[in-house]
Amino acid sequence: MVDTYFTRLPRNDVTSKFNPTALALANNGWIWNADPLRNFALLPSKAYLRREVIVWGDCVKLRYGAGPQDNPWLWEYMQNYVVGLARTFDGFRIDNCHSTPLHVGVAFLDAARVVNPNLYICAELFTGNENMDIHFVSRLGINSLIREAYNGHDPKEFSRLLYRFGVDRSVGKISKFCAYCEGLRLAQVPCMEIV
Amino acid sequence: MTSIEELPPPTGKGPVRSCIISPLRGSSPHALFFDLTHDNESPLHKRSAEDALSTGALIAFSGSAIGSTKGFDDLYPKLLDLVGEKRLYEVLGIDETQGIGKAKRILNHLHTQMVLEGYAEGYVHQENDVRLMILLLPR
Repeated sequence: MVDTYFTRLPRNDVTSKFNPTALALANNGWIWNADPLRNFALLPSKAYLRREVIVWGDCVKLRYGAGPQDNPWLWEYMQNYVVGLARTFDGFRIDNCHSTPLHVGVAFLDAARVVNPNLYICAELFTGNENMDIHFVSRLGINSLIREAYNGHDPKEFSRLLYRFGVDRSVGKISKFCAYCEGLRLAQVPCMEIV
Repeated sequence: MTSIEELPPPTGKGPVRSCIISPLRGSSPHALFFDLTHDNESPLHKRSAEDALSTGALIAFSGSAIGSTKGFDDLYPKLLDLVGEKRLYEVLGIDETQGIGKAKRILNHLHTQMVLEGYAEGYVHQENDVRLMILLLPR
């Protein structure tokens, strides 16, 4: 009837020594108008209590805290995992990048680049505004942001996407270099042609 | 744009020096532009199956990194559930005429060839439901 918010680990020999409440793991998901710099699983957010979270049943939230001191085993385990991937592959695609805590992403990508300095990072990033996007791109060192052509719901919107992401230099554009030459009167030949 | 400013002497003594200040404008993050991702509905549902090749062609000439999926090239008509799917891919050869993969390969090679020969400027023209992208040689 309603989506379950928790994945409950089965009680067996391995898990029975833990407090039963610790066996209920919060599923990850997303909320509308999220602030990507805040963790909605922690106070003061009440997103889980209010059932605002649109949950994914196949993954759970991990408690990274403020740093490795809050969960040393997890940080070491995940860093080894990321570094192993960085040794094996040429690049990463970060899924749902806006929901990874920035300090976690920065630490693990820095570690990845130690073993693979040319690691190519692309990311699926929906922070909701360009300035926040740029903040994530510059802190994490993302090489490319994933853009989708089929997000253009009509021809005009698709043209807009093509211009924004697909046209590096547009026809007839005055380049800054040309204007600079013109300003110093170094060249008398026109730098731009309107076709 | 540019402005002429005066720099104070670096040591604190001596004449001011005239210089030209050209403000650096920011740039937007580099794009990895997909024609279709694993999250998008198939072209058959969104628009039409024929639309796939024209969309793929426009992306092939995009001045950015590009991406695609095997389902798009094979013109697979459904959005797959990646989490639950158990079937394996059917592997097609390069010369197979199924789907638009062969056409896209030619378009990608054409784009590469044009860029190496100096074509650098793009233009998107849109009229009613049709879009065209033109690459031109800069002078």
